[in-house]
Amino acid sequence: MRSTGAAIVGIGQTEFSFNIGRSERTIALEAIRAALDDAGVSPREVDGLVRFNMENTTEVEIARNIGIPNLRFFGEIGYGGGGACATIGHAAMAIATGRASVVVCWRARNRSKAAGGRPWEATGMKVGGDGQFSAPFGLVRPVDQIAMVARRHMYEFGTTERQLGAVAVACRKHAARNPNACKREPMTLEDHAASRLVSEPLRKLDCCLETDGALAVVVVSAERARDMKNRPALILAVSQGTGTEHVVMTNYHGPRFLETPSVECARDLFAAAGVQPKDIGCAQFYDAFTPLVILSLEEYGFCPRGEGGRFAEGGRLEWPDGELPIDTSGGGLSEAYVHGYNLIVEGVRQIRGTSTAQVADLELCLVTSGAGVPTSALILARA
Amino acid sequence: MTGKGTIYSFVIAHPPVLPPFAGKTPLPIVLVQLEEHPSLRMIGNIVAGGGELAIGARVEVAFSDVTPEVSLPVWRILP
Repeated sequence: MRSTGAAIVGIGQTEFSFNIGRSERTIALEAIRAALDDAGVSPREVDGLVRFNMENTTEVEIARNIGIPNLRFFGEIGYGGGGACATIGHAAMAIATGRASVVVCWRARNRSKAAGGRPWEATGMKVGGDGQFSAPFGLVRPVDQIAMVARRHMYEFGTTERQLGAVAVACRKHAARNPNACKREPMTLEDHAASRLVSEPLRKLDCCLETDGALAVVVVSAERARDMKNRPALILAVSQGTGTEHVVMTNYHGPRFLETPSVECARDLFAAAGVQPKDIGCAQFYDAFTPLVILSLEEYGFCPRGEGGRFAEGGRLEWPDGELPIDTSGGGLSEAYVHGYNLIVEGVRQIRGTSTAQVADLELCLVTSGAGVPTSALILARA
Repeated sequence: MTGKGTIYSFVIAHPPVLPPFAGKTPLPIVLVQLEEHPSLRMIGNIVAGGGELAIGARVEVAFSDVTPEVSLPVWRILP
């Protein structure tokens, strides 16, 4: 087992809500201050900030408002939800190379129309780049792009809508235990099957929530983490990956249509950490749509290609008795959708032993970011 | 190129969609694998009145004039 030499020592967040009523800047500052308090670190000690490009608040407004006197490392990761775990990776690299000693990474989201609404709703009448080959035909929303992959997966491997539903049900069961989750009422496979169609074969309950909220984490060296107040979540490895024929959210061309960039990301991740999928006790899979979890089960090596649907059946993804409990705070499907940042914070809680669906004797937790886009993932360990 | 191919995958979009597509839902969107170049796939719409929408269905290209300057390829499902 190897390590990046860095650890997450502070986590903070706001409440999650369908209408939080405060600006992204305000909630970003709330989450960051909470994470620093949790770590027991003064804002004056922060010298690094890492964000990803879904984030609208900037390094300078954070530095100005929390009082960072010497911000000497900052950077932005691309590719939307694929970049969440990579922010932690860049923080760990900055610490390993001596460029920073206390790095804060964050995500704040207010989905309201005033704050920009859903990105796809802003599509204009002229589309350039990769989108010019899909948008004129109505393939605009992320759900349409993932539905295209899901349909082919069903055709090739016999994956069923009921298996997709099992992913949503597992997340909801975990959310029911989490007082911060936005959707906690019970959900059955029948509820999933009866929910309205959004992009066939996908239904409303295959899609993540649309919520507001902010989260932040504090990263320091593993050495410093030993003397801090919380049990550190050691960052074993962080990887980034992209496919060779990638277009928007899918490998539309070539022989690898059903493979996402998680294939490359997973290979590097496990090699860098020096562990195997069988060593992972809990996974926080990016779940913007249920088929992404099916694909991630395959691509992160928990089952062979094509068997992700069957793996999802029979409660195997459910805490406490499932073989691989996933998204133990409810994930994007039932806790909140903040481009995967809640998955990172839940991974830290699992390592600390403070999750509301705590996996017993957990040693290693996998966290993944947006599958389908150029992506990233990390493995956290008990120090 | 013969303009022929097969449907590799498809979705049917339901609301909410962008305003230009609002009157067209449920809207089938297909991914067509071209006969002469199987690793190249095109996203498109289908012409009404053809054969059944399914993966593996054979299709043939047609062109739809959206404006005097812009034509988009569309696909007719062969019986």
